[in-house]
Amino acid sequence: MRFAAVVRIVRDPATITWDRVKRRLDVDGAAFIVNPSDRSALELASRLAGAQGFVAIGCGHAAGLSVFKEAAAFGASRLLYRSFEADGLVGTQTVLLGAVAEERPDVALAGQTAIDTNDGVLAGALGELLGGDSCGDVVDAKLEADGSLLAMLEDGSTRRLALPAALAVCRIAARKISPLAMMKATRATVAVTPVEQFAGNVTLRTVTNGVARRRSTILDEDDAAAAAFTAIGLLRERRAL
Amino acid sequence: MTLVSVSAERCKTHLVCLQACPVNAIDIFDGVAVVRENCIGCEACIKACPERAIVRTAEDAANEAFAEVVAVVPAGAGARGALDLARRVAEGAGASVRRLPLDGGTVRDAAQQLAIDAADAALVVLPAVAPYDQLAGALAQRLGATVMSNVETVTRFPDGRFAVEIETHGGRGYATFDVLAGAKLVVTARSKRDALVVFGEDADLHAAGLELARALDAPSCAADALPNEAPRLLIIAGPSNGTQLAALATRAKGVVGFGIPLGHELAAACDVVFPNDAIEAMRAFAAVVP
Repeated sequence: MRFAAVVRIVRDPATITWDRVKRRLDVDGAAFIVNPSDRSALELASRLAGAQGFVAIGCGHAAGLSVFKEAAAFGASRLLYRSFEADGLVGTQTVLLGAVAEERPDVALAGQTAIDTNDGVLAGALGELLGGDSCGDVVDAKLEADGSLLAMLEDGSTRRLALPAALAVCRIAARKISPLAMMKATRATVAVTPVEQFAGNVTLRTVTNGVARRRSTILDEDDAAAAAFTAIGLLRERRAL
Repeated sequence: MTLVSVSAERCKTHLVCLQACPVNAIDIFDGVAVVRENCIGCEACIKACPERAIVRTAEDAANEAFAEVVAVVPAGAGARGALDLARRVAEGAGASVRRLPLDGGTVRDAAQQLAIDAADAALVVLPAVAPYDQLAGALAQRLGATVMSNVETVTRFPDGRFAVEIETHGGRGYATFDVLAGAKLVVTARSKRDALVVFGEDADLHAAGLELARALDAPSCAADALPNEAPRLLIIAGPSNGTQLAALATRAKGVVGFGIPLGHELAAACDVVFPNDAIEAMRAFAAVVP
């Protein structure tokens, strides 16, 4: 039985700042992290694969390679990384799907969303790629004696899937990795494949500021209706309505 | 498929296309101009034809495919965003929206059925919630389409290109992508009216909070029973000392606090704060919210 967890190395939104001079988000200076949702996929892959280990397939900026090694601390027995220099907003899925296609795992796990692009479609594409089914909102899973996979979902229900299958894992409590395990992980060997050019029909045109720092507006007016209209205007500016 | 094609109804066999073609890629067959495979797509024939009988094949196909936007609209929560986006795109491009219901089943079965039902559509929109986002991925893989999640806007240009805007970097930015003409596009969209009303510790605000939740068609919960996913719009009815609510507020697009005293930790997490007359303010907000 072969297991694969896909790991997207993304920019930490908390460290992205607004460059007032260039009037754009300063993404280049932001730190790299393992996509939080993909940490859940690593955790579940580790539980399912146990001692036999699993392959972690990572994708992201070349400078994020050291962060990807965290997968070894979760029990990944092999680490494959597709690295690129350009902004990873385009083509990440294509690159990951290409890498998974080469591995042909029985179970592929991915985080339900990606924090940089809100990508929630990867697991579905993985299932189709493997010629099997996929399931989202997964918080746990176990292999059954009949060779199927029983997925526990966030709402408490279960889904039985024939293999091969892909799971979109949503937030589950990943165990705390000990400092010693993290230190060992930094010495893990990673097979790195640089990606020169993304294939596809899409090019990134612009990245604009979305949500600037939150600035509270106090509405303490006598005219409640006028205050409500003001609030709605502000919420529309923030695209909340 | 050649790069240009000829409309048999319009062609009057003037032969000007034959004279214009620099690579002799046009013949006359059965009284109609026919384009051969060695066409280089220079469009000299298109410019020369007085009957406008020759068009670019890709554009022609893209326009035909964009006669409609397909919205996959299952019953239940989360579907509204997909239909709203499909309608906005269709309105802007002069196309119509075809709604496809789903009967359940596995993601794979649904993708198989949808690939048949939406085979001709250039754009398919699905809700950005599980399992439809998995379905979007599976469908795109099956159709060879480009797929994008949590899309805010889609603009379709006359030449068949799409511009797609999505939220990026955990809500810090928006990215606009250009999608080539002729490419099929599968997107997921979240409801713009994705809201949540959270009750704090002030029991007096419950009735007005429920009224507001009904007006927004939104769920409500107590501050100690928060969901994992942040809503687009978070309404806080009364102060709460839990740190989880403040954390959820940082991930919501917009936060409105009613009855939150100035100086309270939650006040700084809100875009709009109504510190006083919270019940009256909530009722006024419920009355005018679009």
